[in-house]
Amino acid sequence: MRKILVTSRYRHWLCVLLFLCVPRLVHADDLVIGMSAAFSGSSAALGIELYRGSMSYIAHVNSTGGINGRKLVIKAYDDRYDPISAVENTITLIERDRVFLLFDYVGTPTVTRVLPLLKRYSAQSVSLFFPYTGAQPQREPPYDAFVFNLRASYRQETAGLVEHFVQIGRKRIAVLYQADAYGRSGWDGVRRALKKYALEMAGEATYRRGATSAQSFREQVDILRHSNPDVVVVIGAYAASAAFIRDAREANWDVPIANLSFVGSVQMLQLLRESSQAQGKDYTTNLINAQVVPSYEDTTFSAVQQYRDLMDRYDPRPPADLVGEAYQPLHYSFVSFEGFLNAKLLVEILRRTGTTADKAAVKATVEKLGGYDIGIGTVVSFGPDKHQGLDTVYYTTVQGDHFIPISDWQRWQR
Amino acid sequence: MKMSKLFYKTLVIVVLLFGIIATTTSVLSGWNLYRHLTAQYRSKGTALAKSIADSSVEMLLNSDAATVQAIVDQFLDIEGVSYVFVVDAQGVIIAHTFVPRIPTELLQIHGNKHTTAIQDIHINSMGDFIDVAAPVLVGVAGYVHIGLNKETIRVAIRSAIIGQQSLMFAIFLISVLVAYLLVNRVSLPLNQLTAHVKQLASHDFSTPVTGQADIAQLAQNSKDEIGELAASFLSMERALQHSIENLKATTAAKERIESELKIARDIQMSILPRIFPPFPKRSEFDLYATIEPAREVGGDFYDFFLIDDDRLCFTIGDVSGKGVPASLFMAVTKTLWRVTANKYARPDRVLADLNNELCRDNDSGMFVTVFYGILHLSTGELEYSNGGHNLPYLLSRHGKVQPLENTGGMALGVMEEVTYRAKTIALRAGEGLFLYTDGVTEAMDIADNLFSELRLQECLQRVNGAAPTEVIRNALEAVKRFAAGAEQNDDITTLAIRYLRQ
Repeated sequence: MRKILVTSRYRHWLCVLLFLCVPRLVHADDLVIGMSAAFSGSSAALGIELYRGSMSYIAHVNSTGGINGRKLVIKAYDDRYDPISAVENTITLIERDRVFLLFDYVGTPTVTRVLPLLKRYSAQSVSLFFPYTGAQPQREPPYDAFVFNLRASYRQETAGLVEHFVQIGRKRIAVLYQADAYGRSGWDGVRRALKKYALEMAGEATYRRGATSAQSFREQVDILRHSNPDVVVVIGAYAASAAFIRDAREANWDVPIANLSFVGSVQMLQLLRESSQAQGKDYTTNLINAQVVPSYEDTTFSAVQQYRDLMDRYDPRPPADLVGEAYQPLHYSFVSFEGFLNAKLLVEILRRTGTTADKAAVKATVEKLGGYDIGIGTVVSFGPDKHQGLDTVYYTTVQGDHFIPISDWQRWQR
Repeated sequence: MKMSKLFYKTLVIVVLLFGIIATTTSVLSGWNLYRHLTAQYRSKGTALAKSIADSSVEMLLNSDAATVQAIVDQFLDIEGVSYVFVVDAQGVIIAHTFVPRIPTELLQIHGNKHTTAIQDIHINSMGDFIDVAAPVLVGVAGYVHIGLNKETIRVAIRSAIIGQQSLMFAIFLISVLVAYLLVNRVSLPLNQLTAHVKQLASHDFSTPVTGQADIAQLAQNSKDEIGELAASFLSMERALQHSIENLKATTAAKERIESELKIARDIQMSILPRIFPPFPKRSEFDLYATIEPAREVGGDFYDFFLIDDDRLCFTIGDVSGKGVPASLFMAVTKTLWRVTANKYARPDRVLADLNNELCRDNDSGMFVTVFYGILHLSTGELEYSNGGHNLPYLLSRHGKVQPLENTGGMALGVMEEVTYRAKTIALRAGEGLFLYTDGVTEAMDIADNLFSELRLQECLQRVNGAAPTEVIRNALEAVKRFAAGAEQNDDITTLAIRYLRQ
């Protein structure tokens, strides 16, 4: 609330009052969940789209009677993909806002730093649900007890990528990674996967978190190209990835470049298309993107149909107090689809927990959840030792303006 | 304004002094800072590396690279920490903070199992670092390296030295200002004194010196050495003025005396016969005489007159001593001689009588040498008597030049009742006499050699037979040539006679 007052100008007073009074009015019996994510900065699209995807389903649930009669409300804060802000936001959410649980966090360096807090607040049984990261720390002791993941891990994504590349003879794999815990997770995943084939990483380079698409990646391109790899795996966010791909292609290096799910595929493609148009050159060939949810284009899945339907119907706005007018929301994206699935599973869990249940009961409910069909062709199940719902990795490539599933890896055979 | 020389020197000294102080303090404090900061950095690096090592044991054992990375990332925010990297048991760097890649220099760096290893390392394009390596679980789990940038130390030293030097410079400026004011307080009165003394040097003291009042004021106002100096200048100036006035008075007196002496000399000379030929109607003889007075009045004299139609008497004399007493004594002698020569016929008798006259009341103890001769014009007979004077040379017809025989008398005016003897020789036509005073033979050249009788005799020999004017001119020229610019310190008197029978 203070943030709203601070960021608002005098002439916006009326809007702010309306905004406060009508849609965000929190009733005593509302179920409030907390979110800290990047709503500004070079990874802003990740937080915003994840929020919009989740909100499309939550809006639908709230408008159809809520969860056992209670409305679900997301209390969101911007951490700008900065670990310290994420820690501060989490403390605020737990101590001041007294949220029921934490939800839809974005990023490895942020979540990794928040994990010890969950242990600190373990007496209050605040669990983190479905963070948008495939990093290992929240999937392993001692912090796995406080976190429930839906998506497959980076290890699974990187292992899958490496496996496919090795099978088609692309054994020299180089890695460009963000110089932080996220980058390190992906780097570690690739390294572990290569080890299985007794292979070494061909080369590696880093970039600083927060890099923008305007930045030059020529140095990284030169370093990696010097190691003469068959393929480059990028562990990055969309702005940096797009900049690297652009500079590699500008240097006439058409090596296949693979990205992880976290990158924000649609945002990356959007940036590449913009610079493609500016330079009159196609940057979108030989791109492989791993995804942890199926394509939002594949309407054979009921969840995809529902997602598109609800996105069309509610078209949720990003939180006005966190995001300026300048942001152009994506119609559909892998990120918002993941947000939609996160919300759908959470609502199911909360429904099953019951109205009178406390926070501790939620954890018990999840761990008993088995064989729930979320609508993407695979069932979701959890257990006391299984805090990750999905294990499937989907591989996509760019065709035209869209990501389509890779049906034939042989095209990159060597 | 022209810089005072005193201030210029002071400024040079101040600049030198501050230069030395600034350099030494900079070096010293820079070195001290470097030592302390380096030590501090080393201990800071050690503490940080140990803390990372302690907190990442489990993660390293689990090969949890992402969590280790999350831990090391936090340490980058600490001031001076430039990089952190963690090596696992297999020697693989499993977490680091380098962008875009690990510098190759660091791949060779190794830690100690039991202690933290600190080493200085240079990384191309990054700079100089202190690398602190801490073992994790005595190296079994790996090592944690922390890199501290030495540039931070350099910046700290630079800013400290800049600060110090700024302070020094401010103190320097203040010192220069103070020195300027102090030196001015000294140099202004000094300059005033100098200007005054310079003016004094070119002053002729005919009018009073200007600016004396200012110096007097200075002497009164300044109670220091400057004041004393001014006071002594003032008293010196007054003494100088006084002595110059004295000098002027003395000089005036001397000039007066000198002009009086000149008049006395003119009078003295005027009592000698100066017109030649003296007796144009007499063809029996030819006579010429000169006197070349020295600077001071002297006592030489000559004289001649016709006693009667047949007899020509002549004399030459030299009073002992110089100056006014000698000239007065000479005037007396010459006057008495005139009287005595008329009174007696014989030359010895004349000298004896003249001697007695001069001895009477001669308290001053002065004396005079006199040669006296009488030439009988009809016969050429020459009677003469000498009173201690240089013997005249006889210029004989066959070319022989020799002094006359001495008559053996002493100088006149020494004692009374002395007897003089006379001698007689005969002059033939064309023969003559050359009379002179010791001013001729005792004329000196620059090396104090005397002209001597020998040179005089040679000189007379060369011109024997010539007219008296020619003889004298020759002799004087020879003397002048000999003296060659040396000062004449006695009267030079000559008299020459040539007997020409009718």
